[in-house]
Amino acid sequence: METVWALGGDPDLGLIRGECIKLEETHKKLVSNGSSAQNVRIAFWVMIVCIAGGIFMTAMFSILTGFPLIHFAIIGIIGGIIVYTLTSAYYNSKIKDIIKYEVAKQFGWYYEPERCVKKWKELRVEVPEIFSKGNSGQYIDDQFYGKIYSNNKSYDFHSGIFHYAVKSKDSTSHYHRHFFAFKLNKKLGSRFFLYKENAGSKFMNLFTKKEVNVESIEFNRVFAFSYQGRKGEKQFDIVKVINPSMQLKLLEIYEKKGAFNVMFAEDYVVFDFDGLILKSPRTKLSKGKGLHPDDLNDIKKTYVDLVSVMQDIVGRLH
Amino acid sequence: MVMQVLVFFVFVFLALCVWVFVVYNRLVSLRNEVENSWSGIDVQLKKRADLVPNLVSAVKGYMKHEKEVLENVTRARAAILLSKGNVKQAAAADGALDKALKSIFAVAENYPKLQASENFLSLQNELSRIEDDIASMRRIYNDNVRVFNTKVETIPTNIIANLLNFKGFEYFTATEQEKKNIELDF
Repeated sequence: METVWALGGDPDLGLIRGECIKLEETHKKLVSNGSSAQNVRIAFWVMIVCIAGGIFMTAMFSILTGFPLIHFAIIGIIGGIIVYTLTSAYYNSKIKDIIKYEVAKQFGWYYEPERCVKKWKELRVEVPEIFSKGNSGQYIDDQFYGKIYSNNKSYDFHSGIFHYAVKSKDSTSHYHRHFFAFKLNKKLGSRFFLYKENAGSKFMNLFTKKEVNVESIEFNRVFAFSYQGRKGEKQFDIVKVINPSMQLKLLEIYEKKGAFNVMFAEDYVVFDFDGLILKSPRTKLSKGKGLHPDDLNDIKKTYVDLVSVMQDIVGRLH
Repeated sequence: MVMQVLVFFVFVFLALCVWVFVVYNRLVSLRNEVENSWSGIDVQLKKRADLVPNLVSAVKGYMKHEKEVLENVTRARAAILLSKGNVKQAAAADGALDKALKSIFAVAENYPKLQASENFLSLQNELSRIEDDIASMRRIYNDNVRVFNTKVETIPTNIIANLLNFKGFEYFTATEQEKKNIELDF
């Protein structure tokens, strides 16, 4: 029986397959027969009619009564925009899922589009350093599972988007983190978290005396480590894993992708980057031309980059 | 008024002292990091030099007519061991050993039996792994030297660096001529 690995517990493949079949059907319905293109076009014209109708009613009312009642115009504009926004947002989200599913299919991976709060709870227990964030709206979606091959060895991986919100009295800020975890074929013998150092953590390290420095001054300036236990016990393990070539690679990723965090656990590594996999797709259903090749290529490129990061990291773990 | 001026100067003096301490500590810590990264290179260079006799004995049975190639490797190895922390000499010797090892591996392609030898293959793999480590260490060392030298040479840290005798480090690089000279000197 086929199984796939996932951080925090293996997923239910039957369920994922079911969701994939549903996506496949939606794909056929949306892209192949062009009904969605028609729906989006209808929503657009509904919006135009609502706005025009609202303005017309206001104008007529003013002419007839001499009193400019702008309520009709406001209702028409707001109503029209709501109809169009909801319709296109619905198709947009479906399209995003279909694009990701297509990429997963091309690589021979599994894709799970559903929002999953349960998975977030599992991940929070497994890697609190990455997933214990926010005070509301936490969930995981856009999960990919599969195998990556490097030097005749296969490595299981699991990736997804972690969404969370930070609510304060006056406002709510939403965040999205892209995580990419892969299972190692050997045990690292240690668990530590590498994160982008900031002024606050630098200050804290002065008191905790847990700062671990490696050979590169630049690396020590950019990153810091967090771990359980005493410095004397962990320092050697950290320096062994974060060897000079690993330092250079991580600095290279930092220059290319900006700030990120990495969890080096016993037998897996998790990268934690900022952002989404696909922000605004170029596929326009209203044009009825199917999936835009650039959307597929963008996601493929993201994953090809991540796979090469993984291959480099695995190769550098002596 | 006099009191206020006095307090002002005491404050300035104390701030200056704190700044000197901070700069001094930073320079010491940077110097230690440069020295630490150098010791990383030194260890790898010695590790590689230690493997050379094994390589020579593994190949000399096959390469009886390639005396010069083997001698070049032995000379470059000796140069590494004699460099004793001198960055310029070590860089030149490392470059020479690099070249000599490459020529051994190139010549080895003419000897199929040697190419099939497990001992030779494992030495070749080990040497290439060490070479990769040296390349990474070299980049880190040179980056560290750049950071330290910039601190030592730029205003205002250069004032403290000059007063307290902090000197810049040499980069781990060697010209082609320097690599050749190492070979000719022996």
